[in-house]
Amino acid sequence: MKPAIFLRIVSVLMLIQAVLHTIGGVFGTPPPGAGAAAAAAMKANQFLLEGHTRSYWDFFLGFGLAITISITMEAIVIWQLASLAKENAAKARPMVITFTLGYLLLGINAWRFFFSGPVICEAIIVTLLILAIATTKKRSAAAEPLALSRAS
Amino acid sequence: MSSKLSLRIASVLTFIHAVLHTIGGVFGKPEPGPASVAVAAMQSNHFVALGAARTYWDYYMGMGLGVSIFLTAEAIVFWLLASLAADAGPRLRPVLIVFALGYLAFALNSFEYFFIVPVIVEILIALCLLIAAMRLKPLTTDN
Repeated sequence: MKPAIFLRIVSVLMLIQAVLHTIGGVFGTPPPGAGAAAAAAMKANQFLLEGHTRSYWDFFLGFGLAITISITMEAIVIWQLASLAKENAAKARPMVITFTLGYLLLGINAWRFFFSGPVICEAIIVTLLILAIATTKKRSAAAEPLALSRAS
Repeated sequence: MSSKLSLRIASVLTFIHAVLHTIGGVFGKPEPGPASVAVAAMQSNHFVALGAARTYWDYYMGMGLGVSIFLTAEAIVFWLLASLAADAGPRLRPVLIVFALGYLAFALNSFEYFFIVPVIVEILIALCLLIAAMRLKPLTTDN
């Protein structure tokens, strides 16, 4: 498979993750009992921060939506990188490696602080990104002799 | 200001943003009073989420560190894009515009849920990205 196809699949998976994270993780109803008690305390205890009245519930929503924005933005960029990879895969490779390491860290973070759903999703994304890198390398290596023979 | 320089500035600003967010926003000590009461409630109320015992404090830390990871990765990507600006030319413009719109969305989010400092930093990053997008030079036949 070509690297661009792996990148397109990653992009779609990331968009799905952004939607599920937003519906379940940010705007989901807190679990009854202890979860609801914690959420109520987060909303009720307000404080002043640089002239604004804020609560930990605001911070929680703000962090959650920042992640939604990041995943969505990066999903679109990875779709665009797939187009760049079609023209010149080697130029896209360092950015794909950066996203791979980032998603590996996000997977570890999700394993430590969340649950299996995002861990599985991020593991699949990392695997597909590694496949995109691996196929890029092979294709570049295969293309090199052609370029040299054209030059000669 | 050239595209390359704008992207390098965006990269450094994003990295600084990641560091300050991590130190102050994720690992910062809550103020005494209502903030400490909320944090204590977040830490002490455990519940089961898909088989894992979790608290809202875990979620808060996880989301905060998630933002740190995203910002750091984006800082590196901006630096890499700066190196590509001369070679790739206008083909990079759509990527830079997406990032600029993303950072404007971050600024709106920070305005709604946080405070003014991250809003200013995110607007500056978005401006650097927009300047970089506008200043991309068309490719010559040498490229």
